[in-house]
Amino acid sequence: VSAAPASDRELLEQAVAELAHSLRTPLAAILGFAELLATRDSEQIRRVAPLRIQEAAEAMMRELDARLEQVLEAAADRVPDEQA
Amino acid sequence: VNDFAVPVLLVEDDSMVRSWVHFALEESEFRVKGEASSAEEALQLLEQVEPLLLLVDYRLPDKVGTELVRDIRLLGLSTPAILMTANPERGFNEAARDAGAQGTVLKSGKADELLAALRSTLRGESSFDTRHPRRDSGETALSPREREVLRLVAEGATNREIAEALEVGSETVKTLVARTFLKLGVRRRAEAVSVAHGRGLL
Repeated sequence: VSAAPASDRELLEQAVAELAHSLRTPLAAILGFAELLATRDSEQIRRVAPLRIQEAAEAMMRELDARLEQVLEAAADRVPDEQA
Repeated sequence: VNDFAVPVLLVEDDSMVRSWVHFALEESEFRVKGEASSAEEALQLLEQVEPLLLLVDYRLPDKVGTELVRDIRLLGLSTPAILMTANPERGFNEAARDAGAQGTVLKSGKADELLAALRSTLRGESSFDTRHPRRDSGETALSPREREVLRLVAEGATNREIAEALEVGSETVKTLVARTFLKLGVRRRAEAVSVAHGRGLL
């Protein structure tokens, strides 16, 4: 099956939508667990929340690294040979 | 453990969000009685969990959440359902309502917002998050790639097969399918195909 070529604009919109989703999901978890730590008096939350916050922050870092790498690769592909 | 808590079936593929919801409901009148990470798993758990509320993520690995809610309605179950997303999405409330859901909530990390949505829905009220912009009144044009997704959906392709055909990852497919469905204003695959035929898109 041949895929229809995606326009630059479409690829950009799609990349932004994915980036927003992939960052907002772990960010919501970080904000959520931070709020629970601040508002709930629970030994289990005190034990679990820092681990979940760390896990979510690491997921965000991985996502950012991967997306930045994609952007840099795409930018490198666009540099004409004579300027490379 | 509160034996009289309202049982909730949570359908969410992200383990961090599942964990947060579990703790967010912990001191409330609600309890996460079952957790599913896909639509298929949710359908298998329904009978066992007997939930009084469904909390369903929109971007699931095998289907969009509106498809799952619709499938559950077609089984004859009227269990109130709330759909969740991380991003504000244009037309999301309308798509959720059309699918038979009673509410939507943004994954903001605020326990009070989640609990307010669950309480309203349990009381029989609708609770649609107003941060989702309203659906465009006109027909929104599909991009070439979204039309390709639609063509593959019409051929009966699963999300995995679409990913292989377009040579993209599973997350990209989830985004493409979700955006295509929201633009068409449909909640499930068969309806997407029907609307697409009606509009001459296929």
